[in-house]
Amino acid sequence: MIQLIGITKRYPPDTIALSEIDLSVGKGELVLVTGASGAGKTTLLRTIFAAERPDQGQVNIGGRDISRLRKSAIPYLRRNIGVIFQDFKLLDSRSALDNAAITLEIRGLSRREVRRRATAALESVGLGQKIDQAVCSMSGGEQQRVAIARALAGDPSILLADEPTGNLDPERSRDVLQLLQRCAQAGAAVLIATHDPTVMHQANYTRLVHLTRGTLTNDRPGIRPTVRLVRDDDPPNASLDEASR
Amino acid sequence: MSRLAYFVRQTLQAMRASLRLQIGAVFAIAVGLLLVATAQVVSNNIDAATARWGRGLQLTIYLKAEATTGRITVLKSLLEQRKEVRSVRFIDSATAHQRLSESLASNEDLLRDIEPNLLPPSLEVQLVDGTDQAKLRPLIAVLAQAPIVDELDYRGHWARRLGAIASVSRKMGSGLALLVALGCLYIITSTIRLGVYARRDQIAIQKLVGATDAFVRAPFLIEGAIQSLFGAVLALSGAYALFNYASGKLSGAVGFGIGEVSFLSVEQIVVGLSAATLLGVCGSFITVGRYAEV
Ligand SMILES: Nc1ncnc2c1ncn2[C@@H]1O[C@H](COP(=O)(O)OP(=O)(O)OP(=O)(O)O)[C@@H](O)[C@H]1O
Ligand SMILES: [Mg+2]
Repeated sequence: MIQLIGITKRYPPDTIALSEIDLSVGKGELVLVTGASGAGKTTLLRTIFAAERPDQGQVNIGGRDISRLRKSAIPYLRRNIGVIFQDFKLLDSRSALDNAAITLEIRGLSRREVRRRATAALESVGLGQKIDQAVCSMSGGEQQRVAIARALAGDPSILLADEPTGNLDPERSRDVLQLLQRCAQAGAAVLIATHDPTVMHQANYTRLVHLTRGTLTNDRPGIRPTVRLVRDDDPPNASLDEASR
Repeated sequence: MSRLAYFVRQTLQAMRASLRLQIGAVFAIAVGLLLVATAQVVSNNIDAATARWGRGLQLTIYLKAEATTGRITVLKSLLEQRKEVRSVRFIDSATAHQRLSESLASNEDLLRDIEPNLLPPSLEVQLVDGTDQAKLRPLIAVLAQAPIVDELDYRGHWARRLGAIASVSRKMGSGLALLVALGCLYIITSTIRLGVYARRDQIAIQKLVGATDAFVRAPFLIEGAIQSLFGAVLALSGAYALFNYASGKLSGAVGFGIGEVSFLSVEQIVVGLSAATLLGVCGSFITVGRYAEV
């Protein structure tokens, strides 16, 4: 589903954020990317949803090289990728529901369907009682869960989670990880970036990779691999096809 | 359809958040367009008057009160033989009085003190199409000699003057419309730019989660359209109120002679509203493209 081949990303003047990264995440897999602050985790995720263009290497999503996508096709790529941003990227003055609804509204779903699915996503992260509360009046952990709900609401085939448990207590953190695992079990390719050791202990990952200053230094299989429900060579997502046509 | 409804909702929500700015913009646009609409109404009416007076080229010969029927008949048949004359009609004092009282309608009491035979009898001469003042000169010279002729009124002269005024006013009107359009464009681009700035976080987030450029742009285009459409409607209402007031004053003061005044035609209103809306959409399109990089 996700295939990174020899990805290098530099920032001027002399930061090498990523260096020769090879990584692939198949359907149904949950891969953990660990590494210290500044190791390049966020940059890695950003190359996957085309928010960052690598200086070298190739990013294939669903078998397609995304650097060859026309600019106008990128939105359609992103609709298949649920991103939980490290800094949430929520609309603070709007309600939890409005925020969770964005990805659905963008797809042009009916008002009722948007409401139904956004509400369900918020319920799945335990915010069913707070759907109308403004995000700015929520606690950090609640905001993080709104961000997670937004990423899940669109049922993406790829889920990128950047420190998804950074503001959560261990119990909530476990709930969220379970949610992400369920997405993997349902066939999504899930990539979680974290420097939080408890995630490594709590998560049921298929692989763990470690980044050190932009370089992959450790790539080992998970101790308790999740059951793979979907094969990697399944045809790519239909709407992705549509986007690149 | 539900898409459009969604974008309109988004737009109204965003516009509500900057209500004062929006109202200010709409009023500024309205003032500019009011000038254009008013100029157009004036120009319309000058055109209409020109056409009216130019079409029925007419020479009115006011006769002295002592003119006898015999002499009048002679003059009439003399006139009818000339090639520049199409027809001649005799209007006696009583008919003139009746006409005047009809045109004064409600102000009839003004006429109470005027005796019917105080108004001079006249000959109304319809001229052949294409008769201008030069061609008319010999006839006028003859008439000036006639002892029963008191005064001549040649409306073609006025039509020509009006025509000149009309063409100047049309040119000024176009210039004004262009200036106002630029002004409105400036107002729209400024408010849209502020809107893009206020919503830059939202735009960035929308793009990150898969919004197309069209999705980002649509609410702004609707905003531009709403601003200019509201401005135009307000301007038209203002122009209509002004028109009603002014035409009331005019007919009160003059009473007759200016003919029917009219407001903008339905076509002009439709064209004006569409042009204003298009202007808003274009202004917004340019601005969003520049500042939201979509
Ligand atoms: N836009 C940018 N311009 C310049 N340097 C950047 C930019 N984005 C990231 N970097 C640098 O690239 C390196 C990797 O950053 P990145 O955000 O990927 O780290 P990270 O692993 O996500 O860290 P953290 O755990 O703190 O979130 C850092 O040294 C950072 O300063
Ligand atoms: Mg990071």
